[in-house]
Amino acid sequence: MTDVDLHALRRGDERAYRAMVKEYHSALFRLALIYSPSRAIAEEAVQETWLAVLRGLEGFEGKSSLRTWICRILVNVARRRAGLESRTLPFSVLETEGEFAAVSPDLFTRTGPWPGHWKAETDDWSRLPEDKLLSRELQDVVTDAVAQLPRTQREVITLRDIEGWSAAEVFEVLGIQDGNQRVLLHRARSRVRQLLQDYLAPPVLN
Amino acid sequence: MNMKSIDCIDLVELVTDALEDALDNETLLSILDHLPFCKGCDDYFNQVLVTVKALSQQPATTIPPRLEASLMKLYREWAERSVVA
Repeated sequence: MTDVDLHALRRGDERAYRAMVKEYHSALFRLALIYSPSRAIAEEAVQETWLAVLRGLEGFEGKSSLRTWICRILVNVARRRAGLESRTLPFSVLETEGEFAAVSPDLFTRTGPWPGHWKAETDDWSRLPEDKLLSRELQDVVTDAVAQLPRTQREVITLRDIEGWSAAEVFEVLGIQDGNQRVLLHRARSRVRQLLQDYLAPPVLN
Repeated sequence: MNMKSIDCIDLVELVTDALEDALDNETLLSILDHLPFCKGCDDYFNQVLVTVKALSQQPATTIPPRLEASLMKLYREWAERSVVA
């Protein structure tokens, strides 16, 4: 979104507005789903967001990018609708405290000449064909895995890995500092990786 | 081997920090020293990369026509009130 687009939008240019609505829909809807019990309610949050965007358009000063500004509005709207604090919450300590292991400690040796090393081989995904990665079935596994994450992890992985935003943009929208983003991203990626592994090579039951 | 060697169980906790360029040089070097000699960690590191790639390929949601129509209506109403000809 450029200054020219912003100008067009303020001028009442329907084409510019429609293009923006289409471009941002996926990110807005994905974020809204985090706080909404159904797709219909997530769509309502998106609609309310655009109403707030139009109301605030004249006052938008361009201190942040238009897309982070719009996503911030969406997060506030969707959180408020879900009965959560509408302003950006302080980083939830609950999601970083406590024991966490990216990989079960059972998979590593405890004794012997190499304590803390892999007991068995790890699956080699380097030959995983591209069409397998893009398959509907695998993508559904990823979608479900993300949907099961604790809320703050889901917010961060959605913007960073699914939407491809920078840490700075995610800070603008969620107010979570880089270091905490990394902790959340690490936990979220570890969980998604685990579920992908279970899908690609289901554990053998004894 | 580097002065500070790293165990597999610790390396797996540093993959995101490594990818985010958030490690000090010594730790990063210990990982780079470790990977070529450890197929388990090398495969694990690659699994995380594949996971990130799979996440980036989540299909985009297109806007339902009904919602698009109602958002266009919002805009027209806003423009009628707010845009000075």
